[in-house]
Amino acid sequence: MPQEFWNIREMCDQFNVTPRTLRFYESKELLFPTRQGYKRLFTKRCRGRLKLILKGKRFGFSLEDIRQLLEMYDMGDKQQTQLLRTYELAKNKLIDLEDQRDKIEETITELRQQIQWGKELISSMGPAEKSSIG
Amino acid sequence: MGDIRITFKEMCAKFEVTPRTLRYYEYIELLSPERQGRSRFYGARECARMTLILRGRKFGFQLEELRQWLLIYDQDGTETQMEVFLLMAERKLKELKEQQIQLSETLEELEKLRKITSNILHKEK
Repeated sequence: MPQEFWNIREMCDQFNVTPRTLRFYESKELLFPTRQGYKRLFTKRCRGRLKLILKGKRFGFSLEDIRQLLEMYDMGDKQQTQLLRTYELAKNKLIDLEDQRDKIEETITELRQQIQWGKELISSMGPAEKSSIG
Repeated sequence: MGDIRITFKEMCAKFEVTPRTLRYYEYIELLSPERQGRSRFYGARECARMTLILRGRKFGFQLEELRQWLLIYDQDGTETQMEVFLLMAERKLKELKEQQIQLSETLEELEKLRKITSNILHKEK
């Protein structure tokens, strides 16, 4: 008999996440474990969803985007809508991240200039000279 | 320089920050304007500090880090302050470079994802 249910401990170990993360995903309606009293039991379907959630997170998709993507799986259109939405998300995220990369590049350049300026300032200061830089 | 004395509202306009930001900076002891009843007045020292704070923010330094850095000036003077800034800046530079590498990796994966989904979508049409 293949395993049907996994408890929260097993899930955490296998997917390298914390219980808190799993409870959070549940509260955001990304995961729907079955309950047995206080215990949560995760099905194969939960595992599949979690795999996709973590993948989406790695791409920098928001949890709400991921939730919508997961909903699209059951639309009965052979995941056409899901694919199209994934493509769009990837395209937009690429633009976002490229923008972010450029901004960091800019900050790096400015920071280098500041460092250069600071070094020059220090070397130009005599030990007796101490004036305000404000 | 010494006799600058501007109001709360003027301070917001001068540095393009919201009243909330300015009050917050005061709350965490980055700024200490002169209080007269309910009014606040900012002198040259507060303006200079504000310039340094905003510059620091732009580089991604934490407010607490900046608060401690500003204390150095009062305690040990400009040169020490500048030396500490250099250390902070070098550390931040390293952080940013690492961030940049991670970002490049994510970009690469996203590019793959975009291509794969695009290919499937075109094939099926």
